[in-house]
Amino acid sequence: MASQMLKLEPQSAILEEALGARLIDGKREPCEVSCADFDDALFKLVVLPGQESVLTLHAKLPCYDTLLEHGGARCLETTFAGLVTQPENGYDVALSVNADECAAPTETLRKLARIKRHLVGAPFEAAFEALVNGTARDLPVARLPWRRGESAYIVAGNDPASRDSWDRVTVIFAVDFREETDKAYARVFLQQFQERARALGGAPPCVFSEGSRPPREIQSVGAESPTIAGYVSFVIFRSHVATPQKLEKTCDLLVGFRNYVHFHIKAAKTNMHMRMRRKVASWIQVVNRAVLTSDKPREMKTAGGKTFTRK
Amino acid sequence: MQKPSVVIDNGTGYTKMGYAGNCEPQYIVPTVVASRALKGGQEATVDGVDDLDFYIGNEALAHATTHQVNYPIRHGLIENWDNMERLWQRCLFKYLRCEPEEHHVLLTEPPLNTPENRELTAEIMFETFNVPGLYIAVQAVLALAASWTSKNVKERTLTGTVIDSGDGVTHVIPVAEGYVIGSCIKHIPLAGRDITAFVHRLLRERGEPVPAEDALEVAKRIKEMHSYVCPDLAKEFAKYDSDPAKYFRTYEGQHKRTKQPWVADVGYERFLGPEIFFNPEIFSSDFLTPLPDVVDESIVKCPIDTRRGLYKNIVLSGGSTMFKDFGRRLQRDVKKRVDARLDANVKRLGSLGKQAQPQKIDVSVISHQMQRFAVWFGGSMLSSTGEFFRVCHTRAQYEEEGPRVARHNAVFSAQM
Amino acid sequence: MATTYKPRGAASAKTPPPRDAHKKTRRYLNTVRSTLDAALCLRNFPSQLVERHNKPEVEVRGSKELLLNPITIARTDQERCLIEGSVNSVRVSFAIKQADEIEKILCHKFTRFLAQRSEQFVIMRRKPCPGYSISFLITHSHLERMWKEKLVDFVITFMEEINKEISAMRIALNARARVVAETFLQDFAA
Repeated sequence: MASQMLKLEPQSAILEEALGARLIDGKREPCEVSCADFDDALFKLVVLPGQESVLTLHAKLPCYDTLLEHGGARCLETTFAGLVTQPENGYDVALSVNADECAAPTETLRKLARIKRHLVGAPFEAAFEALVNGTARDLPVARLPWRRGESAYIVAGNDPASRDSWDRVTVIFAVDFREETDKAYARVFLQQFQERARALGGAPPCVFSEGSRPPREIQSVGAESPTIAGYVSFVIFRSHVATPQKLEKTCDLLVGFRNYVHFHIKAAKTNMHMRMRRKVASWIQVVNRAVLTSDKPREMKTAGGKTFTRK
Repeated sequence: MQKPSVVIDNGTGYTKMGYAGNCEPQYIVPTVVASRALKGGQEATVDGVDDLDFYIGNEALAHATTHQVNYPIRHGLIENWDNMERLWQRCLFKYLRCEPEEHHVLLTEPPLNTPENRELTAEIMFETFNVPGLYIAVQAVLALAASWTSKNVKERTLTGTVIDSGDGVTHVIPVAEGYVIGSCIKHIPLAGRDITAFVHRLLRERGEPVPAEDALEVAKRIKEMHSYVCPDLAKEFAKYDSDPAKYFRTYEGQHKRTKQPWVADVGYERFLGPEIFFNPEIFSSDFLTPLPDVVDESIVKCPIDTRRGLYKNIVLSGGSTMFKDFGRRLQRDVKKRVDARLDANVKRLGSLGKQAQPQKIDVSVISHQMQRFAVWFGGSMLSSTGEFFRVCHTRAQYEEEGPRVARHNAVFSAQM
Repeated sequence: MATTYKPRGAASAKTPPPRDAHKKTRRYLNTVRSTLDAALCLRNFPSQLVERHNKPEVEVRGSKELLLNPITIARTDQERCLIEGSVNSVRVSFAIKQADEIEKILCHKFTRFLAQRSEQFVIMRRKPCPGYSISFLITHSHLERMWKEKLVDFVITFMEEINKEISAMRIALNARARVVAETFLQDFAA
């Protein structure tokens, strides 16, 4: 089966469709579409009547201020150069594009639909670029409070054998779920991440630690509550981000990590429900076998030839 | 900021979904699930993730050769819960991309849904998706709420007769103060699909040069683009015959395979298509009661104190009520019947020597902008009000009482 | 009440089941079967307190002489079965093995799922007796409508399969997590 089925896309499908209709297919209609995305993100696409070619995308992103500090500002200057405008009240950032004057519509569409991936992923990108350029030593330990009670941490590290070889960046996710059941499932999943990473050659080493034992690296910036489901750290080496394509892919994966796990927890629960439904159906058959047959309504005939149903 | 609620309207044919507060649903996809072809009637779900190998909507139809296609909803009621759960999973995670823990969910149900079905729905929503709140609204009530956007509506009321006509079947559903009067619901086995078939038949009989393989699709387009409801069939025919150039339209197409362009005339079918609602005998031989008569019969069966309200607020919902002047014709025909009955009664009383001056019955049919997705739009509107959060079943209630919380859903109050 | 007897070599929480576990399960189930068979000796017995009422005495516990001594059959200290008899009804409760946190959750989810559908199972109680995972209540009127042997068969099949299904579900969850983790990690290397 296609492994695509297991994954979630990094872009917002709703934005992609609404923007695509206007940037590429030339639709000119006023609209106001608001939608949400994972991790507390909210978007609102506004096209005002009278200026149907101007598309303005307002976005509210998790921990926006911290993102700006750690590479978000640069991302706005480079990736979204010339698009930034004043956001509406309640939103963090706004991007505006004129569909009539857009030089590279396909690329702009891709950029805008992936706005969350670009901005939330900016700290990762900045860290990995530093890793490639050999300036990882200067990286501060970053704590990105993505969600309530769940942060992502970015820590540059050195080879334990040689003090001066800063060859890795550790990305640590504090993962938590509201429901106890989800938490328990999450631990099962995260443990498998640790085990599979050992078995797979090219994958970054991955360590799972319980919520009560936060990794040592993050103690300086503060850990989350000890009751959370746990911490996962991925150790990213230069080889994982050597080319721009690889760097982009690695960022895609890391930004979507928590959602991926979440999606699969829910999918696993659906799977359990499917199994239970099947089992119940088979047991009910067994019960019904026990019912006396004479108990069921049946057709009877009188001496006179009339039929009636005996209940 | 309160996160927008998620509104999913699962219909027999199409699922409409989106975030509350928007005017249109973000996605409209066929309610279809195509899952991995079964081996010996059973799916391999024991190990791995084969149960995730499925498609919904148009993608499902595209994978009909490799997967087994299933319509989980029959006649408005959910029949295949496995597939329904997976359909919701896909809607929430891949289409709407929301974390279900953080968004209240509004689902819809047909009139006369069973409380057990509601329990099963709640079980899935709360156990699997951990939604913070769930409300299951009756489709007809949402359609009534959607009509409040119309300019003609002066007071917001949840009393009215909903005429819901989609692709498969047309319902007439009287609603009094938010409660569906179940015993008076009427069904008409004529809807969008039948109009398309009728237009198709007319085109074929006239020998229009439409390629056979596209004919149904073309008929559907013609229905959507050119059809309207006429006030009088005979006069309309006369109008067309006296000045064909003014009324006939043309439809241009291209042959899919040979790329040959073709042109077809569009004539009488412009008004004959929707006419099957008002004169069903021109299309079908089994069902012969015109829509206005069905509406009237349905209302007359209702409790006497609700009837004036039901006549006064006849609301249209669904794609097949979108024809131009559909509402006007319906209003005229219903009015004609009602007035005739009233006059007959007055006359009868007069012959008995009694004087009666009854108050005229006000009949009005409401058309509005949001008719096509009226149910979804009504849901979107209601679930962005504070009232919605009051009537929602919360997670805490579910944990306290279990799925039975969803057996009954509080009625919205019309004063918002 | 019978003291809980734990046979030697019985599986404890984490150790893999010994080779003769299967045989032991058989023996356990056979004991339950014959005990249940003997206990299901019921008669019509109208309530002594309320006229024209007919209540399961094992539930109302109105008078001592109508109740039999309850019997506990235990395979391990987690897996046990309580059979409470009375003149017109029998209550059977099972405690399902829950080796770890995940099995505990699965068991809880499953029994809730079943309770939701208890009406379809005719003899299932909506709420298990305290200390047990699931209970059945068989009354005299059930026995009038159903074959006794087949009813016992159902109870035994149910017990046998629910254990199996819960462990299978746990294994499936692990297998799933494996595939999910692998799919994710492979993308780094790609």
